[in-house]
Amino acid sequence: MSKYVTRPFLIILVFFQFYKNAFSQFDKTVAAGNPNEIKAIIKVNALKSNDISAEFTQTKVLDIIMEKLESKGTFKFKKENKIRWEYSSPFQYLVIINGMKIYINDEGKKKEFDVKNNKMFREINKIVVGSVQGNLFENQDYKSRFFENEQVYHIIMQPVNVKMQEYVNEVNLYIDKKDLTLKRLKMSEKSGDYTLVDFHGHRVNHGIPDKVFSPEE
Amino acid sequence: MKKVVKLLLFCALCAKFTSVSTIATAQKNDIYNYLPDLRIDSGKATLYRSSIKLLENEFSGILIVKNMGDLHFRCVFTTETGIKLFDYQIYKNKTKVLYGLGPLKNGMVAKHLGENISMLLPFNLDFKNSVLQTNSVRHKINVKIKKSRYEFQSTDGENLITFKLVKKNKTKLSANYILKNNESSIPWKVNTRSHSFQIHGNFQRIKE
Repeated sequence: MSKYVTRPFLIILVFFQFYKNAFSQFDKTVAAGNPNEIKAIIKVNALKSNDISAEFTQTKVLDIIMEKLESKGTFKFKKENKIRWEYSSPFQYLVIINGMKIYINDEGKKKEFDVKNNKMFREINKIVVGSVQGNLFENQDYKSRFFENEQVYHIIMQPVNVKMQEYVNEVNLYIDKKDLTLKRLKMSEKSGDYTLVDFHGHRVNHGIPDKVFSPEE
Repeated sequence: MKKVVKLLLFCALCAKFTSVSTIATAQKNDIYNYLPDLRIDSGKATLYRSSIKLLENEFSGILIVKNMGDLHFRCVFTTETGIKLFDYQIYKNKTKVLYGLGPLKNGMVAKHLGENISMLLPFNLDFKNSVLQTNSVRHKINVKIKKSRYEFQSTDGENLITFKLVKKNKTKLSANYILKNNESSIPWKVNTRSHSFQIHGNFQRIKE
């Protein structure tokens, strides 16, 4: 074949391969053939996971500004209802959910809320715990659709209740097919604004002590 | 009778020597030399790391103030965890709710919260037709506009200048503008306080 045909063809092939590898993980998922099978796989895995920890990068996208608001931190979860979100940059900010209590430490300023007296926090708690455990789709308050590609299971959840849609219009979960860890969580609002949380460096069942979920820690 | 007159004269004499009344009436244009610089270019936004206390509730996060042009400003508040609490549009002194979570959707709450946030906006420091009086001893500047009285106090520290703006009308709104150095009049921190709904706002500029 002429070198004038081969060289551009090779360049295009390399470029295509790069593009495919860079963007394929969360893009282009197709309707899953057997959603019940996916539910069963995720449920079994949720039963086996007693605790999970990971690093995360949170990106908030708002239509009012071009710039994305990015934060980083660590995340810890322990059954049944213990979560620790610790932001390290750009600000020190800590949220602990422990049962029905939420503790916030905002650069030294401490606050405490009761989840059961606060509907908004109750719903957010359900979404976060359900998303992390990968079984949010069992919640009757949400209708779910299942998609997949080679790397991930993609679950789209939408609140059934119209009022709940004011808080969150859609939740997208991307679960890694190999280790069944939550790779990405995307919470979208009706306005189009959304929050993206990417998780990496997962450690499962390595024994997180309860005191980690105490506000004194 | 004589005793009464003597007493009155004595009181008047004491008042003359003890009161710190205004010393001079300055030109109205001078007020702009004292005002904090809150300008935002049209189409641009300023970000504030903020915490707002509203009645017994307190929330913190990022407040984005964007100049939409034609004196319209859009103010969006999102918490650190990415939850958007409100999206208000402020035009002159009126607040329109584009989005609000729970009680932040309420018109009355938005009106009073919008008043506090508007102390971050340039049009609230427009003092046309004002009467300006200065007191150089206490670095106090009084400005009268109709029924509202504004009081400025500038404390000239080494690297910090504070301008306190007290709006003495029904809402009794006050704002404290803290400048980081003597050269720039762009406030580094703004604290607002309103008796309505017991609103306390703390805003620290993080980006333009």
